[in-house]
Amino acid sequence: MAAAFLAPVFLAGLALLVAPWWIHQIRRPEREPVRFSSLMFIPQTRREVIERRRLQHILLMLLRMGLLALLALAFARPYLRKPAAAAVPAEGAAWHVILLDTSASMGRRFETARTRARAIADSLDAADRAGVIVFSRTPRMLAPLADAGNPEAGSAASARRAVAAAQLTEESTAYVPALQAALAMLQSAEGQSGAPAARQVIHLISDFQRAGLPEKTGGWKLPARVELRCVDVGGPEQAGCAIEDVSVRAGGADEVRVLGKVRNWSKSGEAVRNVKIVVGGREIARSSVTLAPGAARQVAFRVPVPPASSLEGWLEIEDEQPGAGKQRYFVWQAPSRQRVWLLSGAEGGPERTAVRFLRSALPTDGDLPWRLEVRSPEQAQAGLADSAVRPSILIVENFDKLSPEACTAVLGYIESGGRALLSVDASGSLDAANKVLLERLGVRAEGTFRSGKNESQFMLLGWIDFDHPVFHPLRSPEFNDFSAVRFYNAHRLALVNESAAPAEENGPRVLARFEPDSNGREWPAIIETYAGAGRAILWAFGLDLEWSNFPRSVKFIPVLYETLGLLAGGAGESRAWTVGERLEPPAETTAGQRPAAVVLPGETAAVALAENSEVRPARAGFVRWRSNVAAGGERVEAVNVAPSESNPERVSPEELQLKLCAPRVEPRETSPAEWEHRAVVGGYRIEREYWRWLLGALMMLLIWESLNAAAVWVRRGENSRPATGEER
Amino acid sequence: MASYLHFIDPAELARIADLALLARTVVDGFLAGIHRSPHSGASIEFAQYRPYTQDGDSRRIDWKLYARADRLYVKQYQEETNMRCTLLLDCSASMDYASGGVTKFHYARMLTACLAMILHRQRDAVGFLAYHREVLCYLPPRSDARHLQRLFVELETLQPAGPTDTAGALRQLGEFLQPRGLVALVSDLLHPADQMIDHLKSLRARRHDVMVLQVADPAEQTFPFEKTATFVDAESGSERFTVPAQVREEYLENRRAHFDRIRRECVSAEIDLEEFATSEPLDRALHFFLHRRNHSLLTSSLRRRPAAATGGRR
Repeated sequence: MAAAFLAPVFLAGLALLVAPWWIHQIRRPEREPVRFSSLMFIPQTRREVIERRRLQHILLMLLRMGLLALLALAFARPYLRKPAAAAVPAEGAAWHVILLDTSASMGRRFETARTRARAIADSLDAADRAGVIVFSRTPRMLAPLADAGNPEAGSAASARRAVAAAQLTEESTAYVPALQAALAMLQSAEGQSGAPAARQVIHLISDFQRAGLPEKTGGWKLPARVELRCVDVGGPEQAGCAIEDVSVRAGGADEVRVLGKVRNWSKSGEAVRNVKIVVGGREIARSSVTLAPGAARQVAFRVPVPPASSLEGWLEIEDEQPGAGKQRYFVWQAPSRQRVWLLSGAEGGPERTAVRFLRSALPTDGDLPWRLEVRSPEQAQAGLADSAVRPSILIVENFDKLSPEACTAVLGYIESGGRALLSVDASGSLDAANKVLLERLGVRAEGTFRSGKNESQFMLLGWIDFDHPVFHPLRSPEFNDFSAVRFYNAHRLALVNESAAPAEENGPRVLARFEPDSNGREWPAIIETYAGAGRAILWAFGLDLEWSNFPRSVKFIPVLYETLGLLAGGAGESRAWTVGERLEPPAETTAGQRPAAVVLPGETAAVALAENSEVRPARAGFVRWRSNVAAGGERVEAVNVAPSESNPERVSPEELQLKLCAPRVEPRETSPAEWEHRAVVGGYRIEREYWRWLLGALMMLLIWESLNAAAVWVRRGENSRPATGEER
Repeated sequence: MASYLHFIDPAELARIADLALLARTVVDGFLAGIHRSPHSGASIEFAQYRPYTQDGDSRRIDWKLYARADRLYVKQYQEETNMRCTLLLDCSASMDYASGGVTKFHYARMLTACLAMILHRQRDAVGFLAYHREVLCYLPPRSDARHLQRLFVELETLQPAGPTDTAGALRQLGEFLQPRGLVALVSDLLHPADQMIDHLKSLRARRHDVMVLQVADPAEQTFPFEKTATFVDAESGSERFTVPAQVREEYLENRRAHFDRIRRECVSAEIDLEEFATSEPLDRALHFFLHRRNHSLLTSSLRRRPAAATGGRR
């Protein structure tokens, strides 16, 4: 065992030890001669007094020097190390797992990596076993280490075949899952053979792209008995340019603007590159950009688009240098307006105030993604059940006019996947609505706070869940002040099973609460709840001025739009995916139906979507969600290589070992000289760290020093008392 | 004149005048000139009649008065004399110490200059002797203005240095001086006292009036030092490591014993001694000088009056 330091640079702080010595030297009383008229009355000071005072000062100086020394040592983080090679037996059969990086960043280096992997397989002894795992975003086993049904499993030939079969992918890099898969393979082989191998070695063949190493590994480390050998095929290769991001913005009535962010990853030279835009398989424009080393620039293209149509294409940079991110796909879909039904019971009569507010907030001639249509409960009952005509979102107000049948229709609409905003504004009894609708949604209305409006008595919102998507855009200090919104009356909405609600994933969730009432209870003001496949948001107040000034406040439009946007489920937005990522089907296709099949990039055949089926694209391109396998509406989304794959920054194998190998393993062939050289990063196991002990000792020494300094100070104070008159 | 004016604080001189010293000395009649001489005689000016006694000098009987009054009276005269005052100034290195703004030497030099001016104004003869280990300068007592100017010039040129030999200076002064003068010693008395006291007594035996004005620095009086330090003797250069808090009481006791012994010896020899701190105004020393001097004159006058009543001319 030997001691070493994790941060030896802090040992430079030991130079500070000179400071107390220097201060004590320049402040030594012996160094301050005082010229006096005569010494004839001054007696000799007793030697023991002089020596005691010197000792006190020397002790104080030593304490202070000790404090500084402990501080420097604690920051240097000393530890006791022990060679870890003893954990790896020197002789005996070895199990080898070849981890081959197939991520997009490997590019041309992949063949080099394949050659190195083949060389490892060729160098195995007859008693050795080898398995092969290719990895990028996710690891995939190509050759098992052991297989009870396959006697050839684990052989060098099997490994060679697997290496030959490995293919480069367009996925990103992730080292931790790959190492975990390799460890699992070794453990599985142990389980099958009944005893561990004398040596277990993982060969990590990669370009060691830093993007593949997470900042935090969650504490996972490779065990000591497993030796990690890093085979670096990255090498000094000139970095190129890449397209990092593409976005599409509506540029006018008949055109869109495609914006691409292009970066020059090279740190040495300026680059002039052509960027072209391809739409529908045809290049429609080209632009030349000049990029300073390490800099990024935006390139924009105007693309004419017919009204209510979609756009599929990609940006491509012409770059001879290797690297990922040369192409980036995009999709733009002309926003379609979703139908929003407002269920109001004012048919035939004057238009209700709430309806006027909602019409004003959702004008039909605007460019909003919603189109508001007012329906009476009687009109809506049939339509809500018909999937062909039913709206995307349902807003219900005027609960007084809502019959039990209408409540049933609303519940049926929600349970069948509909989205509803319910403004509970009944002035009368809500028994029927409670029984038929609200309690099925997990909520019960228990009457209003007051019988009528009194502007001098109002409630404010006491708590708002700004983490919820409805309020999240309003979380910043500029917008999160709701103190101007006054509620003159509201319904007491209670959760049917309040204690269990938070634990349920799809249970009711309170998004905002009123201030505590006289009993200290904070009643919900806004609740999100689910029923069947649908979702509803309940407001405990009406939308006219009898209930609150909310419709006239500046918060009304943002909250309403965010609520409708949430209920719409992000429909119309173009989502962006990366290769290897698990895709989530959209809520509906352009035909307004749920997707039933998918066509992945590079494939032509549609695959039916089963329950909990996992969709992972292996290539960049377009993924097409279809309403059914044969034909019908579809929704297209772009899949791209992860932008991080174009980042050429590398992590050293030593750093990777330091982070992912808790018991570091010393390679056998390392010479003694290299052993010492690599002592910090490899070959040793940290037995014990001492910085906590040093900090503890530092605290104790600090207390001792403080007491000592206080004693000296008090003594000096006593000595400095003025002489009394008698003494004079 | 301007060259020595800075020795004398005009304000101090003004305060001396305000104290009405002139009037007191005239009434007491002890000083010559402005103050009257204590030595009565017949040489110059009639003073008073005194009844003749048998032990008196019959030559001094005023026969004209006898013719008128039919009684024998003796005529007494006042004699105008000049006092011979010698000022001794200690110029040793120990005097060159100051814990505040004024060194002891500077203070003593100002005091000496003021005394010389006062004596000169009273038409007394002023002598001056400066010394440390040896006599640096000696001016015999004279009363003319040029002499005073020279005294001030000598005062200006003096610098404190070297060890002290007050006894040697007193011994040499005793050899120079005529009897019955005034000797004022201005010193810090920071040296062994035995020989000095012997020579002071010797001067006193020669009928000199002796006065000691001891100058001290406030730091010497209280020893207020706090930090442990090495103290260096101003005269010998020897060093002593000292913890002031530890030695303060003993220092003050040693100092008190030293000066108490000097004071006792002085009192027994009718020598006036007073200590003045450099932080004090000069006027206290000047008051002391005049007050003690007048008191001494009065005492000696009373002692000598029976002799003067004999009417004998001295």
